[in-house]
Amino acid sequence: MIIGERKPLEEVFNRTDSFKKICVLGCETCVAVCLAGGDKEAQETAEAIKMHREQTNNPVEIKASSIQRQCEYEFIDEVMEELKEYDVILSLACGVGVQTMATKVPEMFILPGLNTSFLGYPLEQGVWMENCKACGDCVLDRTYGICPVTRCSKSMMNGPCGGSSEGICEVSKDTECGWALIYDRLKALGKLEYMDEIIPPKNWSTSFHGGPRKIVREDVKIVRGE
Amino acid sequence: MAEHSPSMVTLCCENSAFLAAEKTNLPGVKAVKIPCGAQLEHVHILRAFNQGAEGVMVLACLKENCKHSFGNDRAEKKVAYVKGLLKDMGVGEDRLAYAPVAANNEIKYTQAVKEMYEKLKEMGPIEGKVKK
Amino acid sequence: MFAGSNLEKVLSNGHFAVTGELGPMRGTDLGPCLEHAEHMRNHVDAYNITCNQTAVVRIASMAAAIKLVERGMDPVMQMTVRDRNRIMLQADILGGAACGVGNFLCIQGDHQTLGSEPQAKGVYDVDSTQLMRIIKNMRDENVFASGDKLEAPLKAFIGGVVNPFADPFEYRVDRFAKKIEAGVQFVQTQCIYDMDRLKEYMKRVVDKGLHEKCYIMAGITPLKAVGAAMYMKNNVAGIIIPDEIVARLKGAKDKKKEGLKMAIEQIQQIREIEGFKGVHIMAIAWEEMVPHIVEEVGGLLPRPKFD
Repeated sequence: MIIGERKPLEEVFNRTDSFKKICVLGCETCVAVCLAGGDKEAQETAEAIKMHREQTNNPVEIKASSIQRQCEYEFIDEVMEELKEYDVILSLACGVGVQTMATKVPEMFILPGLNTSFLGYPLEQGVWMENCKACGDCVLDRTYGICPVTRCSKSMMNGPCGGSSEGICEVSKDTECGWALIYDRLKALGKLEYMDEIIPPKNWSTSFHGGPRKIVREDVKIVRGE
Repeated sequence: MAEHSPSMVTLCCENSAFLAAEKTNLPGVKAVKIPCGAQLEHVHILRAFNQGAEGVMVLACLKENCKHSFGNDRAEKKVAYVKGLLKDMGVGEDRLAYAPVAANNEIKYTQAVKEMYEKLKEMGPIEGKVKK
Repeated sequence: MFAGSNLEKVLSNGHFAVTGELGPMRGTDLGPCLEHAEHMRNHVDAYNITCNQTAVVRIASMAAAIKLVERGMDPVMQMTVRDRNRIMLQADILGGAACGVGNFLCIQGDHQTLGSEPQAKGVYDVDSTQLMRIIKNMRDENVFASGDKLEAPLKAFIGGVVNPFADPFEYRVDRFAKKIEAGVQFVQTQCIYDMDRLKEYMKRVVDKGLHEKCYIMAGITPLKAVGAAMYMKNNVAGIIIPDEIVARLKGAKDKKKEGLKMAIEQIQQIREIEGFKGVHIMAIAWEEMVPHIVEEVGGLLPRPKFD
């Protein structure tokens, strides 16, 4: 899922200071699960803004609310009319949600309250780990389930660099060497021969490097009158 | 100039601190019952400030004495987090504190709260905040 | 001959090669770098020019390499894949070769967060192994990575690095084999201090016959001070400095002299290990000592000359 982190309050305050009527809108899908942008966090952010405004003698009318998903029009529709009463929406959705909102409600100011961090999963309560870069050309079949593009700090495709030491990456003592993980996994599965295969340069055009991506599926598109 | 009389809120676990708080009567302090430290949310603390508190204290069960296992530990961690928010907001992290108190120890409750209250007196009103 | 560079001639004629490392400057004056090169002119066969070493911005390795070519010296142009995509890597290979550079050394490069511009975007379009194959294909098949044809052929002697001190240790020899398969013709090792681990690594290399498919040069870095040794020991991933080395340096009255002495001994030792075809001296911020080290090792001078 998409993992996010609340923007520093100072940044949130600075960006919202000029607005008098603010709606802090949480998103109850990915960012709620990672405890960054759900209903609870929307309320918390609204209270923080209110407190800041009182302190700076800059009164505000603020409301916290949330919808199931800010990245789908049908969920935005449910609150459309209500949203229009505000000067600005501080969206606690990921970047996808913020932009979907901006497209759906173009006449309104939409500001991000989160930094969208990465695609990942909860390693344990309170710890989230990046494990997919959405490169558009999955190589997990070659490494049996550990992504070298994401888990190797240098996205190497042909094994660990010289900075791999005792399973740890040169970047930080808190970072595992992705290729050490891959090596251990292939060894355990009896597939070490995969390590010897030279993987040719990756096609990055399927990733963002080919420009913003779009998928069109004619088989599921709805044609007018259908 | 008259001495500042701050208004303070204590968020008290109903299994411990609130039972102690009930036996006390401290002027300027409003004790609010919470079901368990685990049920405390960041927003509750912020809301107390927004509703006029100049200082908030969270009081839950003694270490390893929570009816729901770790509610007190969680409350303590949440307090630490909100302290960070208060610092970022320029309110100051000292306006929020955490203390463990047993149900039968109104003396400790009184001590801890009074100590905090004295600190709040020294700090004066929250800077910039318009007193209602 | 793949490139006809001096280094290639020395190695292919069976001589024990000696190369020195030069780090270009962090300003626009390449003077000190060229002075160091002149200083070791009669002591080394080629000059290895680092490419934004330790991810710190410096004069481009190609610029320094070309300056050496102009002086009749043989540069080994290092190329990290950290800072350039395949367009620029291939462009720099063409550019270097067009100006007389014959040796290209492919390395991954230290991660950008460890260097002078930690906020930089890392490129990593291809990895070092893939770059070796790209150069090989440019040279042998006359094609770019895309499959397009080169308008004029490329001559290149392809270099790389191996690190016997990185992990997983048991994979390191296989990784070397993979690089040979990709096209590497000479490699230099990471700085050697742990002789036991090196010997074990080289034994495995020789058992696989890799030393006959690729020239292996031992990387030697003299230690200048205890602090530097401790820093490398504790903070540089992929370098192992055994405690006895640190203790010996600590125990010495003249640390610098002892550091040089150890480096000289290390070179003498690696000459006894089967598989090494040369030594690469990386006297970081101590380039002026390279001639002294080469002289003291014994049997390395004069360096072979070719017409």
